[in-house]
Amino acid sequence: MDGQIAQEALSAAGSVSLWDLFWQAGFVVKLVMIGLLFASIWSWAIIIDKTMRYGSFRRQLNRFESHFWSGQSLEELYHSLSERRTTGMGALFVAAMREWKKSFEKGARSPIGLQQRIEKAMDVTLAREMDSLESRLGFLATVGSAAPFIGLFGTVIGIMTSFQAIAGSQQTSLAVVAPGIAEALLATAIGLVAAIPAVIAYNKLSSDAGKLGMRLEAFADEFSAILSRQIDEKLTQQR
Amino acid sequence: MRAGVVVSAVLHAVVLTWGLWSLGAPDPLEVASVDSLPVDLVPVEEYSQSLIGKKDAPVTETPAPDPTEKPVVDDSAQNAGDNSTDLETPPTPTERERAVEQTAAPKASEPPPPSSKPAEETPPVPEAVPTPRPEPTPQPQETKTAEEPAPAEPAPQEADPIEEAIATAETQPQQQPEKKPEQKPAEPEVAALPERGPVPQLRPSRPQPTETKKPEKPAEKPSKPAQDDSQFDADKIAALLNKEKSAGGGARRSQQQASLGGDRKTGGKLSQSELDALRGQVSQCWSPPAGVSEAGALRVTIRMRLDPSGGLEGRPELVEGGGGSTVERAAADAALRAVIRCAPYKLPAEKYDTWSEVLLNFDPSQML
Repeated sequence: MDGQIAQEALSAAGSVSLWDLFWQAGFVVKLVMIGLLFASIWSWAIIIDKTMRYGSFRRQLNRFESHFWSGQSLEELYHSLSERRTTGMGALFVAAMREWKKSFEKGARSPIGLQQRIEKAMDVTLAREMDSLESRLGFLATVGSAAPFIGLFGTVIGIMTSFQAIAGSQQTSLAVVAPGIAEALLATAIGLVAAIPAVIAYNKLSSDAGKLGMRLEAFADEFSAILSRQIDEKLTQQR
Repeated sequence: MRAGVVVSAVLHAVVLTWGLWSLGAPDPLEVASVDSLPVDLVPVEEYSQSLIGKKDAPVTETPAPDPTEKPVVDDSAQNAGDNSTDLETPPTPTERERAVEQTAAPKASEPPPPSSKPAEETPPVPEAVPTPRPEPTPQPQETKTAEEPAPAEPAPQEADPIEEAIATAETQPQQQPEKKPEQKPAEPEVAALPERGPVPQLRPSRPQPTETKKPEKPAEKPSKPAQDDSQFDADKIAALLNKEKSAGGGARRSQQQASLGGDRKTGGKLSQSELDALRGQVSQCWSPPAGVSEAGALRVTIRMRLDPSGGLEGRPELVEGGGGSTVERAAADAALRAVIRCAPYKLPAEKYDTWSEVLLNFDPSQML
């Protein structure tokens, strides 16, 4: 009888590939594993998407800055940009220029009010841009912090059921204990696999987003300074 | 975002399939199979006891019986046939056959019929013996004695077939030829009788009582020779059948060196289970005195001697206790009765030296 049980345990322990470990696991552990797998897929999707978007965003900023500081007239730049959807610095520039034009077309006379409105418009646009830049980074942070715990939860559940099965089979042989613990530990492994890249990518992407945000803010300040100088010049011309 | 999801899913699928293929089952650990070491717990007594042997033998590790003086010599094979066992003695019947063949071979040309005829006529030869009987008959002129023995002879012949018919029909031919040769020498005496003929007075008197007695005597006589013949036959048959060489009895001595030891094996002890068995046998027959205060004073010690079969040798004697009050005396009597009643004790015979004399303690206080 004991020999038979040991034989069954050995035959069960003989297949310890990843797929067998997953397939032999309990329901809860399987659910945890599948959830962690999807979390990993989603976090990697975010990582790839953000990396690509930050790259294109940075290139866009560079191109816009080269256009902006090329000595081109702001009116022509506004006309070329306002006809299409813009992001980043372009969006800031378009928002500020639109507010500038509306104020002058309707004959607003207060220079202080114009200055405040332009800064408000640029702030709103900047906030919207930053929001789109940093969107979904929170998911990476959540995965990075919670995935190990989720995996640990699956492991604890798996080891618990494994020990319950061992207690039922009246056997303490390592060959009986090992498969259950191995498949339980697989949950923690998947959790760590999902969490480690998420944490690293979150730190990297958030710092990148911060840098881009700093550049946008710097441009906004610079552009508002330019616009206030223009307002002052126009006011002195009108007087 | 969709591109990112697609790329991520593809990457995961690739990594998982690679993991499933390459990170399959790890190689099982190679566990060196260690043979279990058998450990026996052996009491030291078996080795500290002295064994039976010679006192002047050299010390060896393994005990051995006395050495032999003569080395064993294997007999050379005698048969080259198909026998699985070697036959030492050549079969004697073959020699006789050879002798017959020698006599038969020269005569085989023409005289085989005469040679066969005497062999066949040998039974008739005793029949020819009656022919001498007529010889005395031509001499009836001399005396009546010549005639009287003649009727006396047919009388035994008639008595024989009666008894032989009772025994078996086959014994007749065997007895007839043998009795007639015995009677042959008697006939020459009969032939000599005519010389003694001049003394007729005694002879006629003898035959007359013999005629009355002869029907009885011959009845006894043929029976005795029949027993003698059967004994003779048995011996001859046994001698013919027994081809084995006569040899001295006993087993061969051992060739090995004698072991060091004493004349008898000592130091044996009854094991705890055997002691318990003896205790159980005695306690079955023992009815301890019940309801007595100060049971410790009723302790009785009995010495009994046993013979190798386990029976009592002599009467068990009281060594201790049994004195004083009547209660103590009763306890001693109960113990003695128990010992006698359980008399054939079952104890290991090989340890008789240890239990030939046994001291038994009967303590009622431990029974309570």
